[in-house]
Amino acid sequence: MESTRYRPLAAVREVLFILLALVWCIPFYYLAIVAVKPDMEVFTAPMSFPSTIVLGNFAEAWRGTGGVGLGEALLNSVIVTVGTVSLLIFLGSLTAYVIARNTQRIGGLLYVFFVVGIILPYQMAIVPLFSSLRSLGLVGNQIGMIVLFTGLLLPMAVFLYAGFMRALPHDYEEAAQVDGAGRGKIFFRIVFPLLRPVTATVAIMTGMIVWNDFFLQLIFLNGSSAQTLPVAMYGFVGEFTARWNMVFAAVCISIAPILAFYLFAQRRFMQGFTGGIKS
Amino acid sequence: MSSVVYNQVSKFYADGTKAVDALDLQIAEGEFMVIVGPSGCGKTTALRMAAGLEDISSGELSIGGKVVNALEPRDRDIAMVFQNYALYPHMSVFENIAFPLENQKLSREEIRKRVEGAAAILGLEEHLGRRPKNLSGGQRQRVAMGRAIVRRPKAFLMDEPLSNLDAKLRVQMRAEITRLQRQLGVTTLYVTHDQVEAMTMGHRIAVMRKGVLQQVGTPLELYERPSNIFVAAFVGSPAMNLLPATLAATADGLALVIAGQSLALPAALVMRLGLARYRDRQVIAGIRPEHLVPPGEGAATLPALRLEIVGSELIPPEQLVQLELWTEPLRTPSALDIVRDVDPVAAADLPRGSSTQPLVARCSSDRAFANGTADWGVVLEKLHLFDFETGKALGLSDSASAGGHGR
Repeated sequence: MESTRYRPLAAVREVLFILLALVWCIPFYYLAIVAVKPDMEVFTAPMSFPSTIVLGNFAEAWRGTGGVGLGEALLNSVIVTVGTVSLLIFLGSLTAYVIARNTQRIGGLLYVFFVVGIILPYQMAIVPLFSSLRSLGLVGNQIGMIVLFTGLLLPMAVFLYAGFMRALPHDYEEAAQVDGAGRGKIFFRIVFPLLRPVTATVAIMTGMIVWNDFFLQLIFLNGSSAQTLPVAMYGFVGEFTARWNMVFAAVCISIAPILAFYLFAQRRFMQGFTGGIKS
Repeated sequence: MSSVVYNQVSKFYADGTKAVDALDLQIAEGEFMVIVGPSGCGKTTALRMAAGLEDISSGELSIGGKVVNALEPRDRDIAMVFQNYALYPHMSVFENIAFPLENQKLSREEIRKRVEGAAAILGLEEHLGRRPKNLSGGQRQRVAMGRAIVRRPKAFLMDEPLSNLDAKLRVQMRAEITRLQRQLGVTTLYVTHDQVEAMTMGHRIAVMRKGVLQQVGTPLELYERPSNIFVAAFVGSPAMNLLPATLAATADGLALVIAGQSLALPAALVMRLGLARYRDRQVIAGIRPEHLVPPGEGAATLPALRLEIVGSELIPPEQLVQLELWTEPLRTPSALDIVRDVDPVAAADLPRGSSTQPLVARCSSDRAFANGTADWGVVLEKLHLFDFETGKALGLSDSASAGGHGR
C-alpha cells in the first residue's frame, strides 16, 4: 500500500489546490470589503481594506430605491422565481411525458420544436414581446414576468424532462395501467414521483436563471412596484454617479438565500445530471 | 375467475414480422396454463395482448366470455406480475399492494383489511412499511404477487416472474406460486422460457416457437407424446436424443436402421404408429436418455445399439453418460434450426462438423463406466419417430397435434 501513503508530494499538491480554491474566493473578498466602505472611499481607494467599517451600508441598502425596499424586491424575486419554476415543472413534465411516450412522428417533431426554442435568441423578439405584453396588461407586474419566463424556459424544461423520461422504463406505467389506474393518475401518482431527480435539476437550473436575470426584469419591471432584486440594486446606479458600496451591500443581501439554497440542494443537482432511476 | 380464450389471435408489426401467428388457445376457468418457448417465440407478446398492453392485429381474445380486444388494460380486470416486478419505488409495500384497490375506489378500511389479508398469505406482514429497494429479491417477488392477488382478478398474467431470482429461491417460489394458484383457483397464464418451470407448475403447457403454437397438453402428454421434433427436443432435460435413421423392411417386419445397426421394431409399435407407410424411408428417431439401458442391465432380448462411451456426469443419485455414435449427425435444416432454438451453446459447436452423433443416457450413479464401446439397450416401446422432412411425429392424428394447423 505504498502508493496510498501521505507523501510530501501529496502535501504540495494539496497546498496548490487550496491556493487555487482561494483564487475563487477573491471576488467574495472584494464583495465584502466594498459593501462596508464609506461612500467616498469607494472611488479613492476601491481595492484597499476599508478605513472604517460602515455596517450602516446594509441598512441603507435595505431601504432600497424608487420606493421599493430591498425586502419587497426580495419578495418579488421569490414570487417570480417560485411561480415560474412551479409552472415550468407542471407544464414541462406533462409536455415531455406526451413527447417521450408518443410513438408517432408528431412526438419527434414536437421535441425538435422545443429544442429549436432553446437555440433561438429571445432578445431578437424583445420589442414585439414588450408591446404585446403591455397590451395584455402584463408589464410591470409579477404575473407578466412569470408568463414571460415560463415561455422562455419551457423548451429547456421539456428538453431535460424528455431526456430523462425516454430512459424511464415503461414497466411502471404498464403495471399501473393493469392495476386499473387512469391516465391522470398514472402520471401524477406513478410517473411524476419517479421524475424527482430531474425535477430538482429543472427547478435549480431554471430557478437560477430567473433569479439572476437582469435584462428582462429591467425592461419589464423598471420603475414599477413589482421590481425585483436585480432591478432594485440597479437603482443605486444613477445617471451621473453609482453608489457602488450600496450595490455591493445589496448584492450581499441578495445572494444569501440563493447560496443557502445551492448548498442545500447541491447533491440533488448533480444527481439529476448523472443519475437514473433506482428502484 | 374466468376462462381466457385466444381465437386465431395474431400480432404483426409494421415491417411484416409476425410475432404471434394465429394463436388458438383455451385456458379453462381456474387452470394454470404455462406458455413456454425459446426467446423470441412470441410468448410474452401473447401474454401482453391478454393484458391489453399490446394491440391485437387480428383474431379475437376473450376473457370470461367477453371479447376484450378493444378494452383498455384497466377495464379487463386482470392482474399482471412483471419480469422485474415493476414495484413502484416511491411507495411502501403497503401502498404498492393497495394501489390496485385504490383504483377500485374501495373504502380505506376495506383496503387495509385486504392488503393485510394478502400480506398474511405471503408472509409480508412485517415488511408493509418498507420501500421496495430495501427488500430482498424474494420479498419483492412476493410483493408483486401480493399486488396481483389483492384484487381478486379474473385472471393472473405472469411474465417470467422468477427469472430474476437465484436458483434456490426460484425453486422455492415456484412451489409457492403453484400452491397459491391452486389455493385461490384463479385462471393463470404464465410465461417462461424454462421448461422445468413449465413442467412443474402448469396444469397444461403450450409450447410456442416463432410465433406458432406447437403443442398444448399436460406436462406428461408433452413428455410422452411430443407432436414434433421441436417439442421433443425442448421438453425434458437432458433433451431427447434425436438420430437420423431409416425404416427398412426385413423378413419379420420393419427394422429401424441407425448407423448401419438394425433394431427390429415390435409389431405393436409398427401398428400403433402406422409405420408401414414409411417403409424404406428416412425418419428421425427419438430416444429419451432414460430409455437407453446400460450394457448388461435389462432383459437380454432388449435390442441394442453399439455406442462409444466418452464420459459421464455424476449427479447422484443419477448420472448422465455421454455416448457417441459413429454416423453423420442429424443435419436437416429444420433440425439445425431447432438446435439453435433449444440450446444456443450446442448450436455454436455445430459448424465444426464432426461426424459423430452425441447421445446422452440417464442411469443410476452406482455404476462406473469405463470409456470404450458397449452395447446399450433401447426401450423400443418408448421410441419416438418423426418425419425426416417436416419433423412431425409419426402416427399422430392431426387432432392430437393441436395448434399445428397442418403447417
